[in-house]
Amino acid sequence: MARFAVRIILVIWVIIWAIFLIRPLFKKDLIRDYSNLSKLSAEGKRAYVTGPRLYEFIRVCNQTMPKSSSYEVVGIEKDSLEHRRVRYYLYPNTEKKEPEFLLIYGTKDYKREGYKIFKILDLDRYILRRVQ
Amino acid sequence: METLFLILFWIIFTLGVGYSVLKLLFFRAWPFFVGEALALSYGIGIATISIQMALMSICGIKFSALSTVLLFLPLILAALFLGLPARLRENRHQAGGLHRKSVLQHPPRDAAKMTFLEKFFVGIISFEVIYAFFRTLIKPMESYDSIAMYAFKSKIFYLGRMVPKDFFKSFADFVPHIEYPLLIPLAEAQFYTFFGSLNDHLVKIIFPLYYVALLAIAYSICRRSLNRRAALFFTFLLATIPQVTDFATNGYADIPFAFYCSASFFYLYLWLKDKRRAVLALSFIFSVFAIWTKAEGLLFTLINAAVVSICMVKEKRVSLIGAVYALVSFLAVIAYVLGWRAIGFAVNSDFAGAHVPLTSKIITGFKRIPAIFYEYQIQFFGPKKWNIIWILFIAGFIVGFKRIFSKELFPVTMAMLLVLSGYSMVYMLSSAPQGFGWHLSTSGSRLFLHFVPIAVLWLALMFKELKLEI
Repeated sequence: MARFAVRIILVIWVIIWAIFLIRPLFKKDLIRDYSNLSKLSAEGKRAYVTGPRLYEFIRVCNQTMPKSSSYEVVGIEKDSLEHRRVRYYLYPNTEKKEPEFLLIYGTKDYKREGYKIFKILDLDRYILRRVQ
Repeated sequence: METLFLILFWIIFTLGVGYSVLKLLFFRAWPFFVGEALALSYGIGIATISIQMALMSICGIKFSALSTVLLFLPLILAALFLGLPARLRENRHQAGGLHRKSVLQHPPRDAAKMTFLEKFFVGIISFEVIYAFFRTLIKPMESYDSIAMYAFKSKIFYLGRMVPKDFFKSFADFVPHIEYPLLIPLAEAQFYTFFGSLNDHLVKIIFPLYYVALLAIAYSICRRSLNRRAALFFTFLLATIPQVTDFATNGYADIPFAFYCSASFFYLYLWLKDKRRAVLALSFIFSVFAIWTKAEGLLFTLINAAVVSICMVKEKRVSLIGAVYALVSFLAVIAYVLGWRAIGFAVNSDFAGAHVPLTSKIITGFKRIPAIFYEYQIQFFGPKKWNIIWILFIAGFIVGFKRIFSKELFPVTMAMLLVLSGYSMVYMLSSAPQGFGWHLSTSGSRLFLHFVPIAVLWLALMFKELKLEI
């Protein structure tokens, strides 16, 4: 009887395990993600999980700013995952107040006194550089 | 090919360092299974190397694979030197039948063929392990804490080839939770150093390896009390809890932490049964590594000290080594708190609301109890994250109520009760800037993850007490 009860528990466990193993593959579209990711290079995978637009912007910032520059990000919510990713990928450039560069993402026609256009990726992704 | 070689080199070196420490502790008698020894070596190796890297930074020595290897060479040679005569001695003892009966000794090797059910458990565990590696390596670092707390710090350490001298001051505004312990960031920096480049993709391999190590020690500890089939059953339960598998792949510190605090308690439990000093030393070492992984390790260290003290009171027999363990654990916690205070930090900035009077904190804490219990019931009855592990735990508590304080179960029951009370206290005192509700909802499920292996051990022992079979 006791063994039967333990085996019933095992069956319930396996059913729940299988459900929560399989469900996210479809509900969160993990199958498509895995399929897409498996075809990508390491760089492509970073772009995929970060979002291609943001990752492209980060790459351009990294290529154009001199090493160890200071910057501020405009247009990305502070302390959001995107903001943390920007900080991570841009290091050793560091985020500071009154920085040398302003990284504008998803905001058109942003202006701040003392800064001029340094690099334009498109209308809402560009870099301003301090001139004073 | 070169990538594979570098990963293998890192793993072998890590295992070598951990194995050496283990060998030096247990040079008189070796009580471990092969898988268990490898699992322990992995955890000890990573933690020891990360502590060495922190010391190197304090001394102004830059990280390099060569300096790391050279600095550990004496340790490895000492282990080899001591290990060889120990092996000869062990053989002589075995030949003369001098080994005393011990719970720590290997159970007789089960040569019987695996039954269908055992094959099923092994198959599912293997599937989960392979799937964990797949899920880990298919994506680069991407989740919040893995990037913000750990990968970011490790990038700073790797690019600077050391923990910068002014790290805790000049990076405080730039790195979130700079006061968090450094084991994981240094382990990642360690991997980059051996790998020779900042590969934030392959570095994630650290985490599923901890998952495998956790399963190995859970099996070993269960196997010492149960037959092979039952031990595999409980390892299978642990391996297939969705929350455990999810956190084995996402780059968070919670599975490594679960490994260290579980190992610390498991070997303390073995000491309570067997009273071999080296096992207690191992438990203390794992407590220190748990503190070095996450600040919650302080709580587990205190709980272990309390469990030893309570067991001594219950048995009405004071053991000197047990008292020393409790005292040293307590001192380790004090030393950590004072050390952190000396560099200007609270242990965790979520509890840094020192300006709030204590009475007010206590009153607020009591008002939070309903919300805390509500969160606990969400966890207990949430199959999406936990399957039915907590329901089984509650059922075991009810069905086996008369046995929960039996000699075998008493330390584990005490540990579980103390952990639950301790974490409830943590929430009662939390002053996270985002609010108590945010803190509870974002960390509750992770805190349960830390002690789920201990809960599995509790279930396994209750299974034995109730004379159940699978």
